[in-house]
Amino acid sequence: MDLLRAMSRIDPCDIEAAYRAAGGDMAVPHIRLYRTDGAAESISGTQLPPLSDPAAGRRYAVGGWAAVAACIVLILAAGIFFRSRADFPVTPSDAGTVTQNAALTTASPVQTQMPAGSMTEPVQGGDDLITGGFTAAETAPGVQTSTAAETLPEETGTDTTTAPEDTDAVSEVTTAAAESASPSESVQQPEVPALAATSDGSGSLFSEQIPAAAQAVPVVITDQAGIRAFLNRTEPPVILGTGHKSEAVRDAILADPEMLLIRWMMPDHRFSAAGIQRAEVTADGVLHIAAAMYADGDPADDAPYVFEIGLLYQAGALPAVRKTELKLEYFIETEETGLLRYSEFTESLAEDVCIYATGFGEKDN
Amino acid sequence: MAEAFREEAFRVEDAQILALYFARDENALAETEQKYRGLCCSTGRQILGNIQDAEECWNDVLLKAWNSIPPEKPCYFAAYLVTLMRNTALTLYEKLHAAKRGGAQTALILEELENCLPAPDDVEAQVDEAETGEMIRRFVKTLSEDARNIFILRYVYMMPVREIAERYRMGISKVKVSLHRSRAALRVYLEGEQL
Repeated sequence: MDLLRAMSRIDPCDIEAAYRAAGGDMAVPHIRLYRTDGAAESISGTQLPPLSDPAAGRRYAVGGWAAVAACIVLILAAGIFFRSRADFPVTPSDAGTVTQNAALTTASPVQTQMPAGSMTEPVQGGDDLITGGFTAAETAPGVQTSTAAETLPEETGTDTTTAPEDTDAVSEVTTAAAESASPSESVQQPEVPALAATSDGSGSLFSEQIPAAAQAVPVVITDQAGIRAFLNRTEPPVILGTGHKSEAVRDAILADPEMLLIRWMMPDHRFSAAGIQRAEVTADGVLHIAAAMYADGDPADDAPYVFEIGLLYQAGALPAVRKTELKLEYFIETEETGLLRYSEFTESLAEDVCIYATGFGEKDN
Repeated sequence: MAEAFREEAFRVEDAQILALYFARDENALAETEQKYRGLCCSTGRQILGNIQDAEECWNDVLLKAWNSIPPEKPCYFAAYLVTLMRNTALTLYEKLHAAKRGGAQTALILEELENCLPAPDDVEAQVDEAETGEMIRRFVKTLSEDARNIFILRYVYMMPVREIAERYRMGISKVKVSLHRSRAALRVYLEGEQL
């Protein structure tokens, strides 16, 4: 309390400057006073309508019930709306749209490739992944491509098929696609498996289930300008870690970088920031990504979020990936713990960085 | 340019109101009420959690202003009134809190600030409010403009984080990160000053 009182001694010019910077219109809410003749007069402060006025009471009662009914209708409408989007975009046609959108983000001469040979090579561990860039962007439908286009300026549409859910079938299709890929092709969109979003669902900060599934579209970027554009992007922000690699490994990667960019959309759009904890390819060819997401707790609006993870590694060193899996740790903001824990997480991640890091935070709206 | 013009108009208005105080014209109170009631009651409401108590404090603030001007002639009238309001409301808060009634933002803010003092339990380390205030005044000058404004809105105007975020058109978590860093910096600063 002493500290709080001592705040009063802050320089008055700073206090006034803050007041003006905040708009200078702080005021108590106005309450409308209903008079017995039915006319309404706007007053400020706490002058409430006389409780003894039965007409005013009736009006308030009717108004109250109307408000309750309106709320119920809104909640039902929101429920129907979100339910209809809960599996977004899992239908084949939607998935095709997503794939095509992702393709639009890939610029010529960016090459996207999943080496055919790598699909049959023994799968290694995740040692070749050095870094994770993670972005979270609130994007209205149709806007996402323009955001991505800022990063990768040229658009190249590709005619790709949808992402089947059967991973074995996906492997075959992917391999076939990769085998047919010619080095002269500027863009080749690989077939990709659906991303399985999983969560252990535990922890005191968990308040809701993670959305069941989302569609992932991995794209391999070999073009250095494209990689740098992604790494330099600050809006939305990028978090990068070295993945505890030695300098020699890092140098090798930087000398010949390649990036696996995965972007997916989530129907739950409350995330305001996120970061990677771990990324590795296990012996079964599954790329596991452990990420933490931070949510404000309130739905922001009805636009889906687009998340991107960029994994940087030495060209050709990525083991075959036949499936991606995401494990989300979901931080709901609370006054005490949410921010603190999130902050510790991101700052410890920042210690790993990372010659590329350009900042972190959240997308300003 | 427009900003400078608004600021000048703001100052002229305040000077006219202060002139009324010096003339002992009771219209001074009406003008103060008209211009600053919203601001001060908003601050008081954030401290006390309800508008009724804030109104009570506001009446006290008007009386204090009437009694103290003159001889005082505040250069920043808004800040002067907000400071009077804060102190009055915090006193009332303590009184109410003792009676197990709480305010909305105050408990949260007290919790946020509890780790800022290096050794709150060390009796020898306790210094008077004036000295702490002076240190905070200097500390605030070291913050960037945005961080300073956010810090002041939160801890002087007691504005909820969500409202600050809305006013600055930034995310809530960004505001919280800014406050978190400012508090950490304050703690380091106070330690450096051997508080």
